[in-house]
Amino acid sequence: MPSKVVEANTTAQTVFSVPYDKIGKIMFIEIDNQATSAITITIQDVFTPFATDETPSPSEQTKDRKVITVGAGSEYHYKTDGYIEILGTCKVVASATDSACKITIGYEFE
Amino acid sequence: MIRLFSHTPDLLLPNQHVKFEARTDEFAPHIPSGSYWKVEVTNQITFTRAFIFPNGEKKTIPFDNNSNYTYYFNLYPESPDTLYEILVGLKGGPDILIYPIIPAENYLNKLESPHLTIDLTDDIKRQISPIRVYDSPVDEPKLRIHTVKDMETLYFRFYNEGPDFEKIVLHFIINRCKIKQVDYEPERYRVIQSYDLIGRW
Repeated sequence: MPSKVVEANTTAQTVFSVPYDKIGKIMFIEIDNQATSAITITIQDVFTPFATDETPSPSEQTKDRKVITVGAGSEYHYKTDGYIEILGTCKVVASATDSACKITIGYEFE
Repeated sequence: MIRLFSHTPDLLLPNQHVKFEARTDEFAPHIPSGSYWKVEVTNQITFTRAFIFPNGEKKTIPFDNNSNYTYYFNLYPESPDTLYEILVGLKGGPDILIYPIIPAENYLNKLESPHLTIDLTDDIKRQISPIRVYDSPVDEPKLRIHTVKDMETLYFRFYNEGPDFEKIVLHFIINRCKIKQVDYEPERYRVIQSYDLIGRW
């Protein structure tokens, strides 16, 4: 299973992009926050929907799929078994920029 | 012809025969109703389309050919000697409903009751005959479509009845068959019925 580590950053960091013909599944989330204060991590799904009768010119959407706050010096482990789906690009954005807080996302494509 | 099977149907093979049937004299301008054709060559092509739809919204995509391939499936043959036999496998959006439409704005699969006609805005009326992912899953496709050149246009109307955006993936297996009309009645043949026979009687 592929995984990627990103550091906490207030600018959204790309974890993976879902291929056109697939649906992304987040399998696990691990956060190791060795920073000196608590950090809130938001996992986002960024995509542009197809044009419909009701919305002929769709715009890019950013949907929050999971929000986690991890205390200073704490770790967070979460096995999702794929119930968090990603339709477009998975990004991680944090409440603070700190290289001492590392986020690992494991994922699969279906 | 479009049919939803209870199992994955077999694809046509070389040397098998088909018979085209229509309510009128013609299945298509170059195919008389009641005519027999022999499959000479087959060629399998896979093709995938994917769509993300907002909840409560709809989109209709034609199967015929157009340079604007984003909004057209382009799954009609260009040669009069070609038959497309298409298996459609689905994955993703469990709340996306698909309705075959032919011709424009005419739902193919309908009940006979005048009180229950398909209406996407009505919780009950939109449950009449939609195709869902579990009806024809990608690893066991059960939805089969036939197209020939200049046949009237088939459409798929998509509607997302779920609470959020959903992505649906359509995986097509296109059995591209080179066919030749024969002047005899084969011992065995597959009947391909026109949409005016299967949906408008």
